Amino acid sequence: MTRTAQAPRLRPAPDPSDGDLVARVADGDETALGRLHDRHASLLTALVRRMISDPSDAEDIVQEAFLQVWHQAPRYDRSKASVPTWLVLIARSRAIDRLRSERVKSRTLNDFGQQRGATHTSPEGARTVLEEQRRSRLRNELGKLPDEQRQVLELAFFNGLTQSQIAGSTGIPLGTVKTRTLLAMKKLRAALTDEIRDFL
Amino acid sequence: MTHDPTTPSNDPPAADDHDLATLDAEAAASAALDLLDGALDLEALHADAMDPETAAHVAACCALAHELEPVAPAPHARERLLAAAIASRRTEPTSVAPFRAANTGAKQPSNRRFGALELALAAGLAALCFGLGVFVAPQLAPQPNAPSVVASVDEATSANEATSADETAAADRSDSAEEAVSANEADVGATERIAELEADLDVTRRRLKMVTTIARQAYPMQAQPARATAASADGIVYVCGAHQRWYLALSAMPPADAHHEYRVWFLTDDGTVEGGTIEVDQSGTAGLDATSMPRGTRGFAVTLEPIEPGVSRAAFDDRIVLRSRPPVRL
Repeated sequence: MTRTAQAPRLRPAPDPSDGDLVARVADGDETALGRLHDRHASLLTALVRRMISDPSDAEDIVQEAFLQVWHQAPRYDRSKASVPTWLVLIARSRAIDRLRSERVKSRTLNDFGQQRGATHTSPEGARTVLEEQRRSRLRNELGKLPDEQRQVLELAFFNGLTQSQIAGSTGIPLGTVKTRTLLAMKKLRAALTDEIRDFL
Repeated sequence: MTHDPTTPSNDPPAADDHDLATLDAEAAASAALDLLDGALDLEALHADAMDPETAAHVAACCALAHELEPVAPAPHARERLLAAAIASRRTEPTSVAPFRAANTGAKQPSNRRFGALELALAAGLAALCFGLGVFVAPQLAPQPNAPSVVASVDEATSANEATSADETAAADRSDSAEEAVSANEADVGATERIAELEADLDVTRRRLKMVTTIARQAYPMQAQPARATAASADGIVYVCGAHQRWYLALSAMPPADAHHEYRVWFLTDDGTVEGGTIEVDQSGTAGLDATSMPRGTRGFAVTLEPIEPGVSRAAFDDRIVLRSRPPVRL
């Protein structure tokens, strides 16, 4: 009887965490950068497309954001923020720079009405059940915010408007804008305790 | 979009009975709003002074992005990113020294001509510099010491344009072997130059945000009469209180001699704390910024200090060249 040598069963290596990938990026590993891109490019693209209407500009900004990750990875401190939050802040900051430098606020502000509730297609995004559940819960909690509070928060976050600019654009007194934004943030934070733990 | 005063509002009535906990929570939320305003960028996340409450508010805001339906990136975006990353490499001087790398056996850049990617990167940088200048210049107009910052942007822009021109010229060269070597060296040089400009831009952008952010305080610096040689010196310290970030800009500073150097000091409730050495350039300007400062800082001072250890020093007050005046909230 002959015995055929059995190939050892290889256990697939666990996926590296986002933090591990950033650490590898900090060491100059472009493969790790590619994996970060695989994981988060669809999130950042959605965010930037929400802020910048031109798809080509949005694509450039997402690339700039990942290049910033490439350059600043050594400075990332995982105790301060999760990788997704860090990435969102980077991409949002680049998009705001573009918005402000090109002075397209008026256009995006006019688009605000049409943008709210608009659907974003994701033809290829590999979605997990958990991500869908999280998104659904986020949407649900955001939907509970009074319209006027959600409005100022979205104008600040997605349109990159300062509190004063929101007041000037909407005709709402500055103090009211600040109060509404603070209330929205507090409610959001209270409602999303579990999610925020993941984002921190 | 206008506010309709007849719409029922969820705004709470103005409260005048805020307790300390409420005020702390609002301070944390306000600090997070600074981030929302895009004024502090990511430096705040790196700052030790960023408290967990603020971080939680920031994370809550970022949750807004996670609500969005994912959008697939453009085709080949990944490949373009990796190519650009490899081309731009890191901005640290030690990682972009091609000639030293040749001696140490480090990986050499590939022997290639300028591609569309490099040119696009250079053009993007030029556009970024230009956009930054256009956006910031009007805001800086009323700011003291703004010209030195703007000059940095202009300088970076000019240099970057020159780099783009160099690249274009290099790309047009013939295919002879000798010229290919020359082009390759120019390629490496241009890549290094772009990396340096990116680093300069990062510094300039960081400082510009300190100058233009809302909720900042400015401490005008006043020359001390006892220091006649520095009588014309001028300066200002911008502070973002929520994150303890500060930026010191000086102008008309007389150069220190070979045996002395300028240092900045924090004047705190508990005494003086050294903040670092200031390098004044040939034009008499200097800049220094950092992301933390001692608690209880009430002001700033710039002193002229002997470099050699053991040299007897005059009293602290007698070494002061510039001292801050009471802050102005901008």
